[in-house]
Amino acid sequence: MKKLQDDLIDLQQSGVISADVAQDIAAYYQAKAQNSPNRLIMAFAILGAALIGTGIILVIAHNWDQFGIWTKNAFAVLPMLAAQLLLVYAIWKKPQNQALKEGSAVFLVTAIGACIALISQNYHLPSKLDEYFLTWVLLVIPMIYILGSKAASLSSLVLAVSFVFSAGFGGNNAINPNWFWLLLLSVLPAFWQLLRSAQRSQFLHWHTWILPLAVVLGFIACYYKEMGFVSLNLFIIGSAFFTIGKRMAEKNNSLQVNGFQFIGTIMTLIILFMFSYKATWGSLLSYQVDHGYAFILNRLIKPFALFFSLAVLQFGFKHLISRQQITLFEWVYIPFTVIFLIGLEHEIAALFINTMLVFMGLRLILKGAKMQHTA
Amino acid sequence: MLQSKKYHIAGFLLLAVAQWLLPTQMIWQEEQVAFKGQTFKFKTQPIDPNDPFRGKYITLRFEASTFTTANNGSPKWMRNDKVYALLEKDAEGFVTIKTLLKKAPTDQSDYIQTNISRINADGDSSHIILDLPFTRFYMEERKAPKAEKVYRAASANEKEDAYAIVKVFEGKAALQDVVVGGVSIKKLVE
Repeated sequence: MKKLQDDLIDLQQSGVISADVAQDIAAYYQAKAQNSPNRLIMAFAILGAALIGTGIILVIAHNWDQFGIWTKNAFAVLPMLAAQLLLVYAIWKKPQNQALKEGSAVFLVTAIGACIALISQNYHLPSKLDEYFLTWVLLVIPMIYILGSKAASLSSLVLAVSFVFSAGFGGNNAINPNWFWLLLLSVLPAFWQLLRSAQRSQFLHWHTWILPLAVVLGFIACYYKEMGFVSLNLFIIGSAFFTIGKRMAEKNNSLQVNGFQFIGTIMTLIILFMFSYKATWGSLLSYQVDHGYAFILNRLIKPFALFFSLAVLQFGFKHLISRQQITLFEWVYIPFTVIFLIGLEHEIAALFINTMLVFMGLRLILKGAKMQHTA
Repeated sequence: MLQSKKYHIAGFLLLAVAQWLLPTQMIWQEEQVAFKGQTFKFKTQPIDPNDPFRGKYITLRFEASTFTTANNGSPKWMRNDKVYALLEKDAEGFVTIKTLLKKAPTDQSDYIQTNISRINADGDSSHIILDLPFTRFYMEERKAPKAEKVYRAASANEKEDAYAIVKVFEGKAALQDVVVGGVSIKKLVE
């Protein structure tokens, strides 16, 4: 405040603002400071609550073996009951208090997971991580639409990724990891609504990072056994992400830097670097030798479907995608797909990829130099 | 506004009921087995001394998890098949597998529903390894290292019986305790 007052005196003396304006500015900032919560007190309150909570949990844990099975079951379900009661209170008495609602939703999400885990432990049930995460996420997803909770939406994405990793790498007895795509689809309407309604929202920002990351991780977990072909899928998806991210940035100023654009760019570069090595093409060639053309054609159906969908969207419905020119990271999937098909027959594809990387690097440097010049 | 609040509360209450259904069903199922099930003793096998314990539980291995059958017998078994293992007790009162069935028996309740983990061929016969659903005994983390030593010593010492007490009812099994030398492992590590 002292610095502000000194600045106001300077501005008055320089004739930039009048005495009345200086007084109004000082009064505005004073009122703002009084209304904002004391952050130090808030920090101590959070620390105190965390310490009390930890203390209670440790006392219970220390004496766990002394409790009967029904006491243990009660400890398992009590947090869930408390969270649900808190949510009912939040909806009924404080419907405008978003922080209370979102906080209670997070509490409930964690309480559900803890409840299932504790009961499984109480009865020594066999551990199947994929079943556990799937059950957990199915109980959380309805919270997104019934409560309108964005925190529940983010939690669902994290749980869905946990499920796909435990199912995808879980061996033959695991649940089919492709259920992940259905879980992802069930979260999309909430993301779409958030995109359309919220201009400046931290939750929207987090969604633009976690959603594309979830898609990438889902692909890896579901199809890691055929990473060569999955790379082509991921490359086209990277271009799609960049396209989506660019459109988001145009429509919403707060999303100038968003996860879709960033992850799309990074994915493109990582895959290009991977395929700049002859060894990578060598392992792809071995598919043809080991399995034949029918196998390869079968594996190319999905990426081709993605390729044509994206091409139609970018060039056929250009007005829906972006008012600006299509940029490098949006169309690079076209030459990459052509080179990929060449690479299924010959390792010379590695040379083409390296040439493409040099071309992209030069183009980006020139673009940067041009922007520097005009600035 | 009031109407909207009521719809929200009603929707959330329905969701809360669904969220309670799962833990209630889990507890009910296990308590049914514990209440109505018959008690069986599953003798434990000597375990890998390098990895008998992970985290907060003891990993259990059982002699009864291996069932030997003739290769030309019927039915033919494959890995991951769902099976129903009929139980019987040997002279010492420990469980052995009487036979494996493809469908649940209707005339008796002393059987466990499980899967075939793997099949090892051995000349004219095959050893079918079952994936029994009670291979972890959870313990309080502080006591786990001591329990590990007790369990490992007992498993290696053939004179000392180490076994799990399991309640079985209509295909479901509930692990109750692990006993070493006639004493519950929870008491041994107090």
